[in-house]
Amino acid sequence: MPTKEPTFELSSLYIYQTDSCNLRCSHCWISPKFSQSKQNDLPLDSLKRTVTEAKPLGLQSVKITGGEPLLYSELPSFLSFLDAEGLTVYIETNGTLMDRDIINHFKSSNVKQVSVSVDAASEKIHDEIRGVKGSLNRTLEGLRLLSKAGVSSQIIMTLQQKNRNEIPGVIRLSNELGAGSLKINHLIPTGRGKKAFARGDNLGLEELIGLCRLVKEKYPRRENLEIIFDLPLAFRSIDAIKRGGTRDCRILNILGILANGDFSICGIGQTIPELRMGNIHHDSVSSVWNKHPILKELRQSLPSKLEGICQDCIFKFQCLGACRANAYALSGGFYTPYFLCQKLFDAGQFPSSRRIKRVVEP
Amino acid sequence: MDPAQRFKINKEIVYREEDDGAFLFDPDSGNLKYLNPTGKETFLMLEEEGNVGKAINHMHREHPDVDQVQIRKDMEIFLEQLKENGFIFPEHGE
Repeated sequence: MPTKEPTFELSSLYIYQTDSCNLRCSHCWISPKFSQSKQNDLPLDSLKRTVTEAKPLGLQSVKITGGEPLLYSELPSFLSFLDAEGLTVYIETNGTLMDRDIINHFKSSNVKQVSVSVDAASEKIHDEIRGVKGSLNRTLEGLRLLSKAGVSSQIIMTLQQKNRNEIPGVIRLSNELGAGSLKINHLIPTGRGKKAFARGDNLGLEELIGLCRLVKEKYPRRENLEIIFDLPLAFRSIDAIKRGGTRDCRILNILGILANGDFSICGIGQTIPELRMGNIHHDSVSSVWNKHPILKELRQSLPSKLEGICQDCIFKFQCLGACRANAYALSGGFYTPYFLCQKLFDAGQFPSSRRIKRVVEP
Repeated sequence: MDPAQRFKINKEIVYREEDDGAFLFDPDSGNLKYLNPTGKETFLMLEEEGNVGKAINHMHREHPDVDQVQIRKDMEIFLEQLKENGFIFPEHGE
């Protein structure tokens, strides 16, 4: 039977429309500059042209993130355009700038989901992590308006030492605010997260696994709130895999556009310039997607060149080594194992049922 | 579905058991399939007996409360999925 040449659709664009943010989150993996004023970093026409060019490549969805995307002055026009193009739109925001006007735009433009960061139910802890006083109250106000307007929302919490006891409070808030899901992320050692790791803000492996189990036991699936503990597949229960599927970061099907117009594999080009691949002002998205050596290399080498425990994991074709941007930031290469999975393996805790090599249990 | 049909398990695949199911993984194609406890039981039965009819009879005995027609239908779908993923092969072709 002839072998079918694998094709790689550009299914999603991650657009970082501004490299500014009105908060100073201690763990941010992008490290945007602080600003409270509206920005117009990416000219709307160039952005629209790039999206239009990307549609024949398979584009189905756009994630608008940042920096803080609500600082982008052209956001309402851009949302209307994406809706007219029939694309599914996801927004990630800190929620502090959400008012009735922009929420009406979300609704009228059929935004599929707005993800909002809430790190604690405690004002003191959330504001300390977010680096700006009053941010929790503004975020919650925005979430209430979002809920009232009937726009689907997700709460995102990044776990660290400061908020390790805040999970119950954030679950309660998520329920009260009618969020569809709560995504609990672990700290990533890139951008400002690198310093956060150096300070010891991150949770240890044992603690992460323990909290993940605790959440599963204490908060069994409810109809109205899905709790997604965002750990690599190797850590997840069969039940979590059945519900959430086996694909996370779709690195082979996404492309990032940074605030200055540069293309990158995702937002990592913001902090690692060598991962930038042309610019929307002078390169076509199809030439970058089809010809850029970084993308070609990734397509040829994932998952076959993955190293360490990732090479021996039965999920490697789906997981592709979890976050490859993170691997690159830590090691300067795309193929080193995902740091948490390797730690799990080094600690002798990587489940033998998830390894390709048969392991004889003692 | 012919109950006399025999199947071979692809020797290259990885079978990994867990408390609440099992995974089948093909290191060449990357195909991965989760088996629920019933799927796990069926797969093991198929591996042992290699014969669809015997696997169906076993399921009838183990699950007398389930409609026999339904068991046959489920078995057919299950085997089709395993074939599509390259986890099993019919012994004498089709």
